[in-house]
Amino acid sequence: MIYLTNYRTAASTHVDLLDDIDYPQKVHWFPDTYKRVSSGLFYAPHKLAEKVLDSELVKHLRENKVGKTAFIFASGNSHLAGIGPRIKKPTQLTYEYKFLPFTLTQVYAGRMAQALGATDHIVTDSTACASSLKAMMDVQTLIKMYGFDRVIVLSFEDAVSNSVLEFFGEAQASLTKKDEEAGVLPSAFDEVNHGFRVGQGAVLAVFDSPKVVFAGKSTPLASLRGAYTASEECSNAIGQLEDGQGFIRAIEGALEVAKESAYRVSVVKTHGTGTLSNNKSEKAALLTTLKDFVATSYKAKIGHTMGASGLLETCLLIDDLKRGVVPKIENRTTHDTQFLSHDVSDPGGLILSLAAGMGNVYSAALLSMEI
Amino acid sequence: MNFIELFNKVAKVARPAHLEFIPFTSMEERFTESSLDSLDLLMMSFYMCEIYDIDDETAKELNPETVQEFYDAVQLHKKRDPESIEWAMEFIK
Repeated sequence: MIYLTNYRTAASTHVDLLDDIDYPQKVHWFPDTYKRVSSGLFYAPHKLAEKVLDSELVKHLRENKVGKTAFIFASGNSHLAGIGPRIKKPTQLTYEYKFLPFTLTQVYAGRMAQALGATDHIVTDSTACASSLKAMMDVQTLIKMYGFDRVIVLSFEDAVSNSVLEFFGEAQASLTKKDEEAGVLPSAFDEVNHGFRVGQGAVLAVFDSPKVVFAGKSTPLASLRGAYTASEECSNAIGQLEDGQGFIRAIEGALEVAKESAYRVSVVKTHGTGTLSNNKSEKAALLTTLKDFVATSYKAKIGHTMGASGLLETCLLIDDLKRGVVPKIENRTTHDTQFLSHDVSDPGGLILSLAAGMGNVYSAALLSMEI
Repeated sequence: MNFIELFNKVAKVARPAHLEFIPFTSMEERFTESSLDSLDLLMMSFYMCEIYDIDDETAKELNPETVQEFYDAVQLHKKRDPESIEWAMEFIK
């Protein structure tokens, strides 16, 4: 068993229309992260990270070492690297950060790991939008196979950078101003509303071994039963198979690692981007592998926080379950008791958390609120 | 304005909060014998050049080994003087 013993999250329900970019679109963001970035002295991704780097918690972790400790910076699609950003025209998001070394993910990871006292293993992960949930497989491996006592995961990426907004806009992946003017709202598994806005988000999470918890050095909030990351046979590296092959492999892998039955899974935090392909793929996978479950998605509420989304949304679900609620998927237009159109009470049982990323990657993690 | 006082305050911003910083007490102190590492010094250069309005290309060329050499380089290239230490610190926050 591995325990989640601490976490901090940052997600924004504040929405603005960015009208001066190539593909105008609404985004969920923290406008202060872009304050004075044009001076080159401030870096928007770092400002975002600061929202979860609670100085008291960071100090506590640094000064109360529990044994062999690892640090994983799950940097998603690596848009953190601010070198040579694609800028067709200057926008309100355009800036050139002066401290190049700190735009390199591993340099940043090194500096953060030292601050957190997590200096036995310092690594970065760039498994696209599955990054932070894929890191759960690494957490499991480090603790179970290599005897680590604690693994600290930090995940964020600046989803509202010029590069991301251009890429997603061009690929028609995110909802554009034009889509929203036509009346489409972000949602998932819905016949009318669909798709997502991008969003800034960050998460800091601490995972401990049983040895640490049983010694009374930390208090468990949830347990991580099993995690697995899989891929699928798809010729399109930015596509998804509609039969859900990748999701199915990830779910079955996580169940096998956890030695758990699919019948015990009752709550699913879906990847839930609401794109046509993900709706088909993820729904097919869930209906194939699970029996009696309710499913939610956070992306319509906070935007797609990309690499941070898997773990960030998992922590948000834990917050909701502490209140006894599995929240609805925003902007559903039909009554649905499975892919929730309304809040329901926590049915108990295991939680399945899913994420997917470009490059044919799918992650699944099984957690429980029962300690 | 006391340059060494400003220098120490800016260094505290550049240096990660969890790491010890021993303030400079003399203009002759060498950076190699200080608590600042190479990344801290890189940040220091950019912060100080921003405060004194020295362009980035010149900032990259500066290679001072002591606080005095840093001061001399700043005096040579600066396009403004900060109004006060408080103004300077607000400027880089």
